[in-house]
Amino acid sequence: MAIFEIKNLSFSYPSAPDMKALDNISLDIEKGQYVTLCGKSGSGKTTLLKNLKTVLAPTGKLSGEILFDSRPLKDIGLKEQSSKIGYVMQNPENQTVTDKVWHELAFGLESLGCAQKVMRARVAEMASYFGIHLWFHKNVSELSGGQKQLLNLASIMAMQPSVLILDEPTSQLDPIAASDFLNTIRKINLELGTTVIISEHRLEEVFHVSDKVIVMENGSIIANDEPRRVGDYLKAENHDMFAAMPSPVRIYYNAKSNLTCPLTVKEGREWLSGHLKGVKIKKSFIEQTKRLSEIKRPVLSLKEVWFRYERTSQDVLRDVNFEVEKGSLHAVVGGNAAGKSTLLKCCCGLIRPYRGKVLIDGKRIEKYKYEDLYNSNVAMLSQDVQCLFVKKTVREDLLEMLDKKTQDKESIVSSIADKCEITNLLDSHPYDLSGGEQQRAALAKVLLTNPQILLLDEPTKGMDAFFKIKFYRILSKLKNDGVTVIMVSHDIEFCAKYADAVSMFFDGSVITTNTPNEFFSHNSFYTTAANRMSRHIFDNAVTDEDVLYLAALNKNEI
Amino acid sequence: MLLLLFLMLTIVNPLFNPRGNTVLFEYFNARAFTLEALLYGASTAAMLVSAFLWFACLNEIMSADKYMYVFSEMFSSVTLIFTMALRLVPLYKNKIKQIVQARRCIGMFPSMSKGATKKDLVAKACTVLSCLVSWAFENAITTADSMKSRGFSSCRRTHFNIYRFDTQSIIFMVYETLLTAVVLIGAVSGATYASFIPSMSFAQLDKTVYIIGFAAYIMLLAAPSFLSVKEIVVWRYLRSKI
Repeated sequence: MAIFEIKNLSFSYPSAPDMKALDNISLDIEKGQYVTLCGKSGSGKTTLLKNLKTVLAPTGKLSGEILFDSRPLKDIGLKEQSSKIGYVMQNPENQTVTDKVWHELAFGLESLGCAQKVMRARVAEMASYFGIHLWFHKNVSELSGGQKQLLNLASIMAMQPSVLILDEPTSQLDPIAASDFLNTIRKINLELGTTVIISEHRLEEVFHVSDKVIVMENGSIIANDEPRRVGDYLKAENHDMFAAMPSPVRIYYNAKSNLTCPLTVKEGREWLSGHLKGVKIKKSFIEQTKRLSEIKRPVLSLKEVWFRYERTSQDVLRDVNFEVEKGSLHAVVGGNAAGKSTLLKCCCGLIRPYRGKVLIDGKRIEKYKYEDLYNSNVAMLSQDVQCLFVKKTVREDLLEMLDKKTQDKESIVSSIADKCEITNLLDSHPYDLSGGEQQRAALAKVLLTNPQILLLDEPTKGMDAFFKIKFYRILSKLKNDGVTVIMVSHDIEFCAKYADAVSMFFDGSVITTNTPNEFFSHNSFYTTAANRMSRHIFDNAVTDEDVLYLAALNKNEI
Repeated sequence: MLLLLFLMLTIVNPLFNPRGNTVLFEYFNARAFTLEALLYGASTAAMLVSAFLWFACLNEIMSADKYMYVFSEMFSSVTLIFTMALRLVPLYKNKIKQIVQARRCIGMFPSMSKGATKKDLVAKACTVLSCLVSWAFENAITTADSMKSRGFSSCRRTHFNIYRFDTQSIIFMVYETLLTAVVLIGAVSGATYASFIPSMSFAQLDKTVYIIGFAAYIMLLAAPSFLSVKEIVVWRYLRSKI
């Protein structure tokens, strides 16, 4: 039985009445299913999800019909909708309303006018189920992003909804918290039978557990089927969305195998064994094209750097030795709260170590004047890029960066906009852009300082697969201009594919530095999906291309 | 610190107030320093210091969420706004820091020591503030959506709390109310009358009224101490049983 029946739904925003944000969508969502909604950003995912709950539905022209439990959605009262349809949004911070964890858990129940006794029982139950009892009395401001999002979920689950709608719930979380969160969603779906509708760009975690995958493009549904069939379809159409599929799926289709398509790393390992059955492995490693040579021109070096935030607190950086070659893309990976962001702050002089030296171009960072350090030298793009937008349009924001005396400001702005591929966004308000677009606009702003060393803190957070490719194009243009890029990231796949050198940061210091191939092939857990599914056969295949190349080589296809 | 305040107030009072019968000594052309003024100073200082102490205790014990619990039934929307504001204070503080750091790294926020003029700094600070405000408004929309989505204003709100009105609370409330009543009766009948100047005189009342009234007052004030002593004793006792 269908819980949601959507019939010929079309929608357009008042700002663009001719462009259909949703175009004639018909869709049934069965009770108890796990449905994944994917598509490029701007394809109408959020618009569709918001229309499934009357209070959140955006204003605009709507036609068609939505039935919830065989009744028209708009006839169902606010109270019933609030409790039956749970909605988790993207940003964990802004969804919380109150200051205490226990109060937040009860917020929905209070609104529904539950009795004290009922609330006590429900809150207790939810806190135990989600493991919140350990931080039940804390202030919301003390929680990590992952905990906040879990709290938002729990406070919605306390109302016992029959459908749970999640709009990119993990885009602001690091991979470990994201994976925990998605596992909890899976558990809710399996154990409580709650219908889950989730839009997500981290498909690795949700693709294999979905009963149905819906792919959207330009406001209409182009595929709505079980995961394997969706893979088939996207490959057959040679669709852009194929790039967003999990690694095993991409490798499978590009290898043109006749076996069943693997969805997880485990299935991927079995598939690869089957694919290469009876084939003698002649070559099991990739020739290193680039080796990590002695660093000849260190543009930035940290020597025995120690730092702590308070005199009495623990050291955040301890004995950090770190060198970066000029003109390279250097990635720093490592766990949560290991001090990676602190490292970046130290590199750009925001904080001063109490022991050790930070050298920029061989000169101590303290010796630079403020104007010299941040003009044509060092620049950092902070993790929360919204911090950088202060004006009404992107253009004004970019103009703000230029000196009053500068001639020909417009042409400078338009050339940088061209470089960052934001020319068509120049007159929009920065807050109206999508996450990936904001990232590029902020990057453009930072690039106007003409940096030689660019520091990026989690630049790919919240970006979908296409934006990442675009983003790399911009970075490689910069590299060609001789700019050194240092990025701190959780995004292993991105680092493996594009970085020149990767450093592991752990417990306040840099443990190892190596080329991505060497680095990731020596790790067994902290590595890419492609490496994990091929390590039993190949030595150092890290990216999809590596696996495909070695497989084809050994089967004498090349 | 409070002791220092107490001593200072005690000594300062006679310097400003030369009246009183018992002159202790004279200074500056026969200006009198009297015992009465000194004692008056001492009692005023004691009152002030104890008020400080009680308020410090109140502040320690009554955290914001307890006020919320007490007042939520009466002023429901006001308390909700208050809880929301409590979340926003640390959030905004943190955000300002982030904005300043983000702008500093792109050369848009020099500090005073790095040779920026005052006018320049004020302008930069205003930009940070305007950035914060637009961010805050933007996010308030999401918060509002999240509230509506969880049924806010769909019907009359109830109030969840984690405190309980148990037997001990009732016993304690009765105890406090009774003692307060006794003390008030005593005060109304004039037991707290005291006059220092020109000479000390206290209320002339029946001794028993005095004793009962002040005993009740002590019992009232010492109630928290009784509780903590009882706790220590019970704790020791239970431990020794194991």
